[in-house]
Amino acid sequence: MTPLPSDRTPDSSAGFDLLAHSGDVKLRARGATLEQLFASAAQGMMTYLFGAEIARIRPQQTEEIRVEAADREALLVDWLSELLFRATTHYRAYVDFHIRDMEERKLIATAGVASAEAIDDIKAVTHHDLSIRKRDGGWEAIVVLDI
Amino acid sequence: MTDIRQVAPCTWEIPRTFRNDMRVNARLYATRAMMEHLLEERALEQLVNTATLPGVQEPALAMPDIHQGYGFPIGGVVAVRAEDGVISPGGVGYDINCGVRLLGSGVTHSQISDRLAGLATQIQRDVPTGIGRGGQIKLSDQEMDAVLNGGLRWAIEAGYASPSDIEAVEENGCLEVASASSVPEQAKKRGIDQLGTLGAGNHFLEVQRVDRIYDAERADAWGLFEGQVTVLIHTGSRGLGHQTCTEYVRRMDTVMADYGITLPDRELSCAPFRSPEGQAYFHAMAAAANFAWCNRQVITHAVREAWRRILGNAESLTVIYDVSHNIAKLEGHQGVLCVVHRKGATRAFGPGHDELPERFRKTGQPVLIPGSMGTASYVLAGTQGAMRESFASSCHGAGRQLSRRKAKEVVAYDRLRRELHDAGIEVRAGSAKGLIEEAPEAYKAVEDVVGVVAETGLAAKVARLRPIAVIKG
Repeated sequence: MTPLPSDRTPDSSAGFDLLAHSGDVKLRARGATLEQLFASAAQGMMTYLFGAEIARIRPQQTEEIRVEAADREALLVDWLSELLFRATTHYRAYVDFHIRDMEERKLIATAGVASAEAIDDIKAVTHHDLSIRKRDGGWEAIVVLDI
Repeated sequence: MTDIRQVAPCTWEIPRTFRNDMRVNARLYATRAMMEHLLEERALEQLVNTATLPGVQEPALAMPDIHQGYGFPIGGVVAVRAEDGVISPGGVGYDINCGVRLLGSGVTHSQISDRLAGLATQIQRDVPTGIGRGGQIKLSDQEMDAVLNGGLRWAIEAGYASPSDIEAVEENGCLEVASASSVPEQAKKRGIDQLGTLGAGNHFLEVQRVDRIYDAERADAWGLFEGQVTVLIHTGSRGLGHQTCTEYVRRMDTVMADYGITLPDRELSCAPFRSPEGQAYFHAMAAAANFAWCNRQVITHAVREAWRRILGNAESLTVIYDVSHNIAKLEGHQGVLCVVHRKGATRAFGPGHDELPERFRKTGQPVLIPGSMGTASYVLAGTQGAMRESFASSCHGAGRQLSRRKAKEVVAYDRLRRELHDAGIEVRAGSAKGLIEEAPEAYKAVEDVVGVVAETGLAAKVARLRPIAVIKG
């Protein structure tokens, strides 16, 4: 892990919603670009796990995350799954996502890290009703989280 | 869905002609009222999807607690030919070997009512519950592998179990095909400090009293009596199971096309059972199942300690039975070796089954059906009917009818606590949220579900249990 550069600005400014579903949570993320979309989705998942207060966290360190997958949809699931694994295993919140390098089937990102206590639990990121599509000049994704 | 036909009072069939890709008929057990509600849900579509799996045996089934899941519906029972069929992690679920254990005591409710509050508090102290918290046991790498490979054999060696406990657990608490080396490293890391923890959500621990006996002979054979205090533990393989399923859904998704498999839902991702990927998942699933049995055993140990501390050393708790309701088993049915996926469904071996230990050979196995919080749970017995009709399977509980968010909107915390208190139930919940989201009104009525399996002959009622204390996260 390396110290966070002071001029780093997060990409995750475009937003997300967490929608109720019978036994789980539907995460709807938006972004002007695919990079922003993936960052928003990550921010949404972390917000569910740790609460909206994490938007105010000032992390002191960063981690690099590399993911490869079969296609873009699987890449989104695997990206969020990797973050979920790290968050729940190391009891850490991830914030300030910066997707450095993104292709159809792989990405390299950095994120800020802070110790935090989870307020909710996610068992897994699923492929159920998974979609990534262009919408309103940007991108929208739907991901269902098994809680 | 006008193609659904009623074949018996509580049995419905969707014929294979309903959709081109169905290989067998689909069948479900439900009342007419349940069916009308189901038509609004995706669960029926998911049941139809399971009838498309390569090697699926007639029929693709769902129990009366059917509701929407990931790929497979919850309440789904799908038997696939081992020889040339597939195995699918979605047919087991993310919480591998989520299941239920019932402990029996030698005392009645009235004998301990003055100490019940203290018992509930002690159990809450001794059994870690809730979100994001590890337990007191942090396994070394070697211990983790011993748990994964040995299941309850590890628990005996580590001092958490006795041989008489093991006999009362499905598979004696160890699936021998387990292989720790097939479990992803990330799964082991996620589970390293979770042994002996209950978790959150709909996982719970209840102290109960036997409220009614329906079958005196079986109740007596199993050590149940009216007024008896029992303890029910509902939990599974925690993050280790979730991560194992996540990883294998991903792996199979990448190789399915190589095996010429296309499916209507990505969460059905699968591989031929005899393929390297299929076998790796089977061995990993078995290992995660062993972890879950050890989890329920370590929790049992903590409950026993709490019990002795509050009630004295002369009192003890025996394991009545322990069932899994998210698992895949290799079983023979009608002369065919099958991989039986049960996701939100319970095995229900009837009398005479040679895989049952001697003490259950005459009665059939116990089937444990937890109710939603504060409502009744049931003990049933497996039947010959289940052996013939449902790949020896029964329901597992009640399905949700309100989302967690909706429950938070309609259920008032103070009212719920008052209602539980007025019902004589001691409540120890780690959070208001944890209580509200699991309120009884968030679930369908378990009595209706149990009524259907009894009516259709899949399982027979033995006893009803009512909660006197609830401990959860």
